[in-house]
Amino acid sequence: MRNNTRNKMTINMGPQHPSTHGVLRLLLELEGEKVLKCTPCLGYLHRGLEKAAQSRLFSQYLPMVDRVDYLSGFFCSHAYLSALEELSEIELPKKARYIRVLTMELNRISSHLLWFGTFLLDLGATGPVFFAFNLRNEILNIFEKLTGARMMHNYYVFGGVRNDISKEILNEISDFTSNFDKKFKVLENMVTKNPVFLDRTKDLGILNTQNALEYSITGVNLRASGFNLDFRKEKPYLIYNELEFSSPVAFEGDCYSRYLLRIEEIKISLDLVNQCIDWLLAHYDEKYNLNISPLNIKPKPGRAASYTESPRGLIMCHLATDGGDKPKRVKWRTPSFYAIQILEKLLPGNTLADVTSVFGSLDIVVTEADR
Amino acid sequence: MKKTDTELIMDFFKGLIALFKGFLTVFCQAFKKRATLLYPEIKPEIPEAFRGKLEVSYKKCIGCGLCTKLCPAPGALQLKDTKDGKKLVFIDASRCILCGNCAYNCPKEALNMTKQYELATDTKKDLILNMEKAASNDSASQAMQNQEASI
Repeated sequence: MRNNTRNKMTINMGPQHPSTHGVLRLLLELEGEKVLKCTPCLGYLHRGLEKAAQSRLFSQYLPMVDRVDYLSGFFCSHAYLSALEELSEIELPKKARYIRVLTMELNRISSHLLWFGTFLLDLGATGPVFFAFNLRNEILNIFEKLTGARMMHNYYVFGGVRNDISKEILNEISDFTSNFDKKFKVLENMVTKNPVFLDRTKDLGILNTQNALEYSITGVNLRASGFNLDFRKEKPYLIYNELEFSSPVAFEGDCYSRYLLRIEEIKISLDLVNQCIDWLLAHYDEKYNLNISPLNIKPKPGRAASYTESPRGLIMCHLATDGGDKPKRVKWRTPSFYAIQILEKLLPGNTLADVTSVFGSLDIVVTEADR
Repeated sequence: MKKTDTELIMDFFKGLIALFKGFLTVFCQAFKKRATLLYPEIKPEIPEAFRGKLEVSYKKCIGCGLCTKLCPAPGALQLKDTKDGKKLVFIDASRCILCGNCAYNCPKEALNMTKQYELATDTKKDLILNMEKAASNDSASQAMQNQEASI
């Protein structure tokens, strides 16, 4: 569609565009190749998950929670359950806490690996995606053995996790972590110092700290802009206060620094997984039984909000109950929604070819934004 | 800030080295083990905990209805009256989301998730459970067991 001014053009990127990671529509106003304005349009993936909660029992809603963000289902499950457990005043057994952190950190690695593959696919490199998926497949195989499903796990239950982790699976995870560095080096060799990759990501899509804070950006995207906010350290949930880890910060705020930070986060998560395995092997004989019937979840009336640091940023679940067996209101605060809004600030001034680099580096999952 | 000529030449050679390193690592992968399976001929190994197609054993089902209360997908599980006045659970696999909530919480372990993962069919009818057929299968297997026991 041509505008009145001769050189201006408005185009639709999406909703059926392979690099929009779901179904997102970007309305771009172009002058030649230069982007003048970008308007993100959401709503193509809306499934009404917040409304669906109100007509379902607390445990009936659990399988649907995994589908808020299909790449990091464990984080969404934990966000919902920790709000519920806070309202019910239930203390989780220590072993369940460790198993939750173990699975969540493995999930973070798998999510970042998928991002790694698709980010480079957006930039036009078709090779790395196969290597990244191959590595991610090993994690999914472990999840399949432990939980029964590769992505929609439905593994966390009210008061802990569904089944105890076996020694066989723990050994398999430690095998995976010990071989991970060698395999991941292949990916890094291919990409990190590649001149074409550097040209397409360095000094591009610079997000400064003020903008990031104004738009409520969280997670790696915020830390790459020089503001250290990691909710695993800020409000330690589960057993994060007992584990040793760092949260690195970069100050450039460009696509390349976001890339480097995500790579760094994979390594930190790997270290956390190792710490959890050590604890779980040392306390292997500790048994815990869940005697809570799924129909007997009746939290006291009130409101609770939980904070979970997901691979994409802060996931908040705000739960309101009225003493019944169904939630009165469930409100999700998901990081991708905010990351999509920042596009209207980041894209103007760049070329059309750079839209995918900026978009890919923010690690957006549209299901999570729309839910 | 503009780069000097020597810096540009250094950048060029650094880039060249990085490119060749990348090519070399990819080339080395060509001699590694194949990562994929030749799928229809070679089937993947399915773990014990896998959640595949949902099945019900009418020998064990008591029609308590707990599964229908916990199922998040509308219409996937329903309680239906049988001819002899009992209530039994009815599965519509086309609506099932394979979450396993029913099977994990079944008090009599009547529902279980099989390892069956190839669920594509020509018609939707194939996915809807034929209650009478399933019940007769159950009674047939019961008769077989009785026969074996008598032998």
